[in-house]
Amino acid sequence: MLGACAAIAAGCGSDDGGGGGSASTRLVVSAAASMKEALTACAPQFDKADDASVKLSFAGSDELAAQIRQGAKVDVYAAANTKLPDQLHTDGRIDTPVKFATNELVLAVRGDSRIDSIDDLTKSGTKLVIGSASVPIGSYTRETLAKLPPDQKKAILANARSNEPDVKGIVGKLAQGAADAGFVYVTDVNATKGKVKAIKLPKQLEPQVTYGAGVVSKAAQPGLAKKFVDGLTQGDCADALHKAGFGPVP
Amino acid sequence: MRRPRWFGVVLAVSLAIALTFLTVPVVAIFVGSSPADLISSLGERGSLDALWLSLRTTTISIAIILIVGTPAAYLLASRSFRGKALVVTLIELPLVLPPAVAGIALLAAVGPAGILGGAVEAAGIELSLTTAGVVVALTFVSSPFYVRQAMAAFAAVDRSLLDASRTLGASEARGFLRVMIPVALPGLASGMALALGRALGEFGATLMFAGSFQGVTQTVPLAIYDRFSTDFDSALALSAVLVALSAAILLAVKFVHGGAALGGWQAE
Amino acid sequence: MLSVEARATVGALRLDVAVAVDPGECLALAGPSGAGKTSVLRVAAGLLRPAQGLVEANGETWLDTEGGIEVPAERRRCGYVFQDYALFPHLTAWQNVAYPLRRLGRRERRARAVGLLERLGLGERADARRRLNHEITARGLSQGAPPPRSRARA
Repeated sequence: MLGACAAIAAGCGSDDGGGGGSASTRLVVSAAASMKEALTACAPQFDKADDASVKLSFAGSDELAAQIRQGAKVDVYAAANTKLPDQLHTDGRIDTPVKFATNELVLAVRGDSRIDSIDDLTKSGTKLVIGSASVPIGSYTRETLAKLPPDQKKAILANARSNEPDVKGIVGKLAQGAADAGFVYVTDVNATKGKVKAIKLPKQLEPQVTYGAGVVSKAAQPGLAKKFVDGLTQGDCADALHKAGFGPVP
Repeated sequence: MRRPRWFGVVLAVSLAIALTFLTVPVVAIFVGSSPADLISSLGERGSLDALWLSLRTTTISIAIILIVGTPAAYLLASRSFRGKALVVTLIELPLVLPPAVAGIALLAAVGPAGILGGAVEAAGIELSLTTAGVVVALTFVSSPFYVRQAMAAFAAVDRSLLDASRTLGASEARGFLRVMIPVALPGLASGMALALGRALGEFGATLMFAGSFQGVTQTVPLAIYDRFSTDFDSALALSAVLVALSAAILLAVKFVHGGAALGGWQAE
Repeated sequence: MLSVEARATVGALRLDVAVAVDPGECLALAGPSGAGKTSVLRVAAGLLRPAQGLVEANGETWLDTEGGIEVPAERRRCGYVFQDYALFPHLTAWQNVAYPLRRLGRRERRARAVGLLERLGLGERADARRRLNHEITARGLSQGAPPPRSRARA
């Protein structure tokens, strides 16, 4: 009976997959939350060019990796670091990942804020919001803070009021004035169109933020998936990423 | 009531499908991990903090809902006034709001940049990113569950009981406490159980409005989400606790109030 | 001495009555369903406020619409037995009877209530609750009178 129910549900949800016919091919892409604006903009162009129907899913990269481990039917995985794709590859979950973009970790504050450097974060009472330890934005943040003198790092972390599961949660709270400061990517600041401003970190504190992507091993559409991944380095989506502020791979 | 054979079969099959669909995921939570693993991951500091926080915030939230919601529900059940339909709709609104929308709404209302944000700050109260904020989120999303049931429960009380109370010398307030509430109690308890279940499981509005920080705002659902990617067993363990707790609450209500709270036609 | 004058519209009923009862007298109101018998009683008890009315009992004015006087139902010393008995289902027999007794300790309230019940032959049912309420209701119906407990309470 459960099987009957599942079959009905599956029948309702599926498109005409693969191999000709008038319906376009569905491609399921799990991508880090920070790529939301860029990929949402370029997906329609990919759809048109390759007769596809890209279904985008944005969340923290660690969340998406866990879903793939649990067997979620995904074709492409694009993360905000290289560690998660490499781990998935080692576990046989995705094909060899490629690096496709870089990003910049910045300190973000509201437009009218008086905070202008990372030192101001040590002031007690400052409401700081960062990513949780397992999501890339959170691990980059902790990596950066670890390069500071220990008591400065301690003072800053003591001001952390929330460990968000993805970067958009940090941006949202900043924009709403719920937080005074947060560590996000420069591309997220660009996406707020002026509500939030970015404070560049000193060169020596900057972490190397490299994004990696790969075709999921049991992808329903491996060929199309490879095309999408290639398109992240060169093509419509690569252009969209650059426009949003992502940098090229060194 | 005698039913034609085939109709009885259809009813039974429908129930079987519904039951299976609803219970398999729940059973899977308990089957996914060994009891020893479950118990040890519950003993971790983070899990304990989450459980304690959920317990505290839910209790305070339910207390507020009962104290404010009971008289409000009584008023709505016993009087007609102009605009009543609108008032009832407004009270029920959080029921149909997606939790994320509820979170946004709370930020827009009492967040620092919200319409009442200035007043809240002037009063020296901090809501977003605090435990108090969790209570606000839980109260907002759960109160309609209670108020609706309470309204129905009060409306179902025989009007003449209150009249009798008055002729026996009790003011309306006394009648409310000594007759209305006791007689409506099964319905009130049922509403409270629903609100409690909703509050325990609240996630989206809490995350948006109060954030996620161990010991302060990371309730059990938020802790489950946090652990999902790194420690699935821990997530399972916390989920199991939540399921067991919710089931216990529901069962407690059913047993204490017997048939009346079970719903359906009663044997007279 | 109780006198009730009332003019009111209750649903489809246009009520226009004046009744008076002397002390010790027993007045019966008879009429078809919908005639307004219950409405007259409700006006007297204060459960229904007429558009115009005057209710006086034992020298007290309970209602005078023209003079702006209205004593709320709970302050009128008026015993009312309901058509559907309106016994409190969540209370035992003696608790129902003791409901109007306040400012007395529990023991005294119970003693008084049980005493009243005994006078009506229901003493041994003092602690009975719901189920037996209905039994007594049924018994009362078969006797053509409201059940003793409802009377004991009123």
